[in-house]
Amino acid sequence: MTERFVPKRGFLMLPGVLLLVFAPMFAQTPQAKQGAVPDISGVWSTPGFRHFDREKIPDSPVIGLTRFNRKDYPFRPGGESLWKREFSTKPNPRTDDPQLLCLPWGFPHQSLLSNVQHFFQPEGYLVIFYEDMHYTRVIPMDGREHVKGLPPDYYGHAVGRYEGDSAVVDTIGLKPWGLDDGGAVPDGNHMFTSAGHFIERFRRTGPSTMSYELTIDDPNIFTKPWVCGTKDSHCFVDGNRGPEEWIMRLHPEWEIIEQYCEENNKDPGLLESLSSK
Amino acid sequence: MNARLISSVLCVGICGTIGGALMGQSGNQSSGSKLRMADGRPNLSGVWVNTGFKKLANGMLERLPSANLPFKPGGSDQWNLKLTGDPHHDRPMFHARVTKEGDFGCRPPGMPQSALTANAQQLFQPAGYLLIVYEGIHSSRMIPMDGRPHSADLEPTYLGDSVGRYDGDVALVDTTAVRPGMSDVGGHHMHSDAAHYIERYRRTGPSTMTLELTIDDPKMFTKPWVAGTWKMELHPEWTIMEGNCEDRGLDDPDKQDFRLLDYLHHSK
Repeated sequence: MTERFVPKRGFLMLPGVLLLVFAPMFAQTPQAKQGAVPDISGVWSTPGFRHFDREKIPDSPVIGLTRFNRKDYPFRPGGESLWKREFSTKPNPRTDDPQLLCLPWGFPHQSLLSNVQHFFQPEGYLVIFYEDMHYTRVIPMDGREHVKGLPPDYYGHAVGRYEGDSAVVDTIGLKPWGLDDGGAVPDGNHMFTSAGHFIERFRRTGPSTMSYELTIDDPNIFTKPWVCGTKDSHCFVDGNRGPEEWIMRLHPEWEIIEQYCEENNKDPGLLESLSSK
Repeated sequence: MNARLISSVLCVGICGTIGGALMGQSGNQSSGSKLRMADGRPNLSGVWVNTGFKKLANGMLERLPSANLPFKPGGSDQWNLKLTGDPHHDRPMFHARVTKEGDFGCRPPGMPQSALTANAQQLFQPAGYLLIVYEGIHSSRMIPMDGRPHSADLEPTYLGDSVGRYDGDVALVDTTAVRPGMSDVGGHHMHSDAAHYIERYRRTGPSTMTLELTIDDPKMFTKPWVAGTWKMELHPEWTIMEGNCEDRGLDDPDKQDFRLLDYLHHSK
């Protein structure tokens, strides 16, 4: 005689219990998709951040000067004259060194300054808080196209996407502005035009490091794009001419501080010109 | 079907429903129109404007009250700025001269003025933080929302030190260590270094939120008081624009920035 299988109550409950126990793992799948986004959040020091004297004052930063010193720019005819800042016949910070008047660093110069930056990754965005002059970039990371017809400004229009282990940000819509330090900085005073187009790649390379690669393109100046931040790129962001490979370092214990150029702006050259009148 | 079998079937059904809901919750966390995020936090993300936005369109600025407040003796004189006619004194964030002490114009609005801005503001809620990016004068705030206390020995700043937490359907932000200065440009009201602000952001509908601001300043007032409850509107189709005071009018001779004019005058 064959016995009829009558499942006990515990057996009947088993599927539901299993579902309840293991469902969070499936709920994590979109989180895992979220987790597939490279984590570049946190407070980062930039390639231009250097400790002044590591032996005596290991934690004291030095302002790194930004300058580009390639020997083989892919200039188009007439491009080199657009690449160099044109100084006024009479000293005028508005054109010669606008940051003396607290005009914005703009992009991409802001990203290369020695002050730290705090990256956040709310859903769909990369938000970067820059300590110097308290500027913020809000970058949609959903792969959208650039909006057409936007007025040019100092930080341009940025859109981005995640590509494998990299965050890629594409910026256009910039006012013609300085690419690096102005004024009396040797090897500085480089400009770009309204056709300036920059592509950043942030790639997490270790628990506390991230590489930063910047592709520079300006069809009014160059015949083709060129890249900074990689070895042998000859793009220096360190007053001491440090390594050409741009590495950002994570500082989880740091907070960016409030910084305003407009206060206590005791630039010696500027004040001297005022006091002499 | 006996009672035991019925209870077993019910258990499977209930457990399955809960499990299925868990599987489904990991969808879009911060769609602007949803009142709550997947983890239950009130959803404040998106581009918002408050009532000051419409007032500005009509040439008015948001202003706090001047009277009928719980003043201490002498508190009213501290709260209400006596205007001198010098824009550097009366409205430092818009007008200022280049001085030999190195002070320029375009001072930040600071707190609480930033919270009352007529410009658009974009809120983000990454894990552990509330970020507010204000369109005007490129100001922004990063507010840890993990309930931490204020740090000790804070240096006063324009925006102060803000910490927060979620309390039911409210995002509560507590700010101290604010530099003495102006509370609102429209009303010319001041605050001391003892100022303490509490903001309560409450999502009230698919496209609305309220901001309630409590002001306390023991040097001026006998107790905290609610300065107002402002209605904010969500604009998911907007993008906040870059806002610069520093180059205001530099490319238009008719709107030259006061700072640059003064500098050029002295450099001749």
